[in-house]
Amino acid sequence: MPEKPMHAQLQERLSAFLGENTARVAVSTFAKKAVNKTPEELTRDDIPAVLDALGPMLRTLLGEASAKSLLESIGKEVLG
Amino acid sequence: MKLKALAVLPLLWGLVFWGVALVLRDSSSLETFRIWEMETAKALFVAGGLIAGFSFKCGEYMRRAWLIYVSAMALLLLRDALLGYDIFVNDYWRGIYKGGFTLVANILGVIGTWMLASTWKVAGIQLPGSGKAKAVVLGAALILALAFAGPSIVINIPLLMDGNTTSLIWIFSGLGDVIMLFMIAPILLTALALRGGLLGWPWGLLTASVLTWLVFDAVVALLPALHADNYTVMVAMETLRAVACLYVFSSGVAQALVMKHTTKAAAAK
Repeated sequence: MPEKPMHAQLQERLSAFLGENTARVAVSTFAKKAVNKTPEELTRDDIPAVLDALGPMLRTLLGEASAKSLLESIGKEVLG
Repeated sequence: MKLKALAVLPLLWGLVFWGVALVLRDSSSLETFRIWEMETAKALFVAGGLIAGFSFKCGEYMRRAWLIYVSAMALLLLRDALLGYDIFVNDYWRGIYKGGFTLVANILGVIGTWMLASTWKVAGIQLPGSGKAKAVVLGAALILALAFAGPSIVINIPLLMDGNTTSLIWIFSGLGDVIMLFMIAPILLTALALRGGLLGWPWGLLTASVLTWLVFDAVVALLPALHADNYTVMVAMETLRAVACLYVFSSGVAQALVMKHTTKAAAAK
């Protein structure tokens, strides 16, 4: 089975916390902000920068400790 | 499962209060029961906010927002506790004391609500709906806030002019309510933006609380005008107050549970 695209994996993990719509918008917004790309254009190399850009949003909503754990686990899962 | 239970808890509490108040309708114990129930609900409001606030680290935005938000209710609890002691020279000073506490509590309530309502902006969440739809929601919130909380301000200003210092409580409370009810709009939109995700729970429950306060204000404004008897007004007010307070408790606990779950789930991966 072909692996899911990077942006779809990111959205899937984030939607469990942010809801589908906000997860989709967040990936799109922060992909543009961090690496100036659309979600579909994201590559493995872009993921750390996008996760960094998502940090402030998740830190506000979940607190620093939970956001850090979540971003680390998403990074591990998406990057393998 | 726990999150669903948190959504049901306030309604169950309201139902139990309503049932007991019905049983005690003609009993002299009704007033004692009402006071204990009301203060317990307020204490749970504060407890929920403290649980949420202290789940965040020192200096984090949401910690400040939650703690300021619940400090208003904590002050009202303190006010009620001190009123139990007969330390006031006369009704004039009792009114000044109650009015002063209510003013400070409402200022803190407005700041806390404003901070919670601004979370979407601080986090960088995009609220759902077009600009026009958002303006409609904001406009509707403002109209409802003025309609439900405005009359108590208008009615009490002349009473204050006549030296009735107790009116201060209703004026400050009404002003605070107008501003806080207006902020229903961004809290509701934040809950809608996060719906379907775990974070939708604390925000949804917080929205349920502010919407219940809106109904509470509507009941306070409308029932006396409809010539409802004192018992009906009291039961309706206290049931709604309890549900609104318990929804804050549920929201705070839900926020803490979601954060705990996130850390745990991430560690398990």
